[in-house]
Amino acid sequence: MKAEERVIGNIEQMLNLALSASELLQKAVLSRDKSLLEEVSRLERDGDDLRRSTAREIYKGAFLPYLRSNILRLVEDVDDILNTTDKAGKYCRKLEKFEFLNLGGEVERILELNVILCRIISKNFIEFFRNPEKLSEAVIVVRMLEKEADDLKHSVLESLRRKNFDFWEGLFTFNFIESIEEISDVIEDTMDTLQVVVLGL
Amino acid sequence: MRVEEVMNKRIEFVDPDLTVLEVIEKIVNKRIRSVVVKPKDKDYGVITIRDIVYKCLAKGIDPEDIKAHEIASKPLITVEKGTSIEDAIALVEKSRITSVFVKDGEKIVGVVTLMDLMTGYLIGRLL
Repeated sequence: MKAEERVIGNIEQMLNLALSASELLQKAVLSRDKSLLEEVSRLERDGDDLRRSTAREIYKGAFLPYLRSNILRLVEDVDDILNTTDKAGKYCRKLEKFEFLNLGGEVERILELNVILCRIISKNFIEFFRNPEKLSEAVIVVRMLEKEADDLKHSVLESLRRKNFDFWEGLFTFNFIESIEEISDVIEDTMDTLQVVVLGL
Repeated sequence: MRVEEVMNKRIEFVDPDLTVLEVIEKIVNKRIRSVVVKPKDKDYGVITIRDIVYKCLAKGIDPEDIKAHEIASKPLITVEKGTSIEDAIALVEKSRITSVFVKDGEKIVGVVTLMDLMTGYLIGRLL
């Protein structure tokens, strides 16, 4: 197998890990089962291993020099999806109450949007290289869904303002809401980087 | 892809005897585009910004002097939550409406707008 194929294969594996992590985070929050979040951290560490081995392949000479920086940026963006999902999981572990689950399904929708976004990118990753038009279509969809997640975040924060929290519970709740929305942000960045990479090829 | 996967679950219900001014206040405060009017007789109705402008403001009626049920569009056009995006698109095109309410049995559980349907259609092409 060529070095380039190994790099693309590794990124695809990282995207599959990101999808599993976002599904686990969703399941953990909806079922209030914090034990599932250990697995999210494990997936994040697996992603780190893949990031390091992919960086080594690039360092050893995979891809033409002018492409390497963007490929590496793509790897780091995908790794960031896993890091942000893990960060959200860590804040979730610190929560005692799940006040945000009584707000008409807005947090649940953000988590669902993250799963859909991860699914779009992981399922079509290889296809995007063969069919850049499909990638352009996906970029539009990702932007629309990211905007929805952002709007929902602000609406959730506005609703939470009216509730009484003790300081730490409020802080961790805020950080958790910020983090789950940040996942969709990072996915949007990943799509933008992917577009640059595909254009370069 | 089904409508329940793209619908907005935040629905505001208002009493039929609320004034249109109170409805406007609700729409502005909640940043929503429509409210469902509870039945005065038997049918639910819907008030969109379009109803407010066309049936009240454009006719020079003071929104404080007219009740919600008087400008509500009826009957509410609904689809079951398992309806496909394609069928919902065909319905809004045929009925010339910009949003359709989603039912689970007899209960209204969500609303989908043209934007939601377009998003759902595009997601369906990618998944």
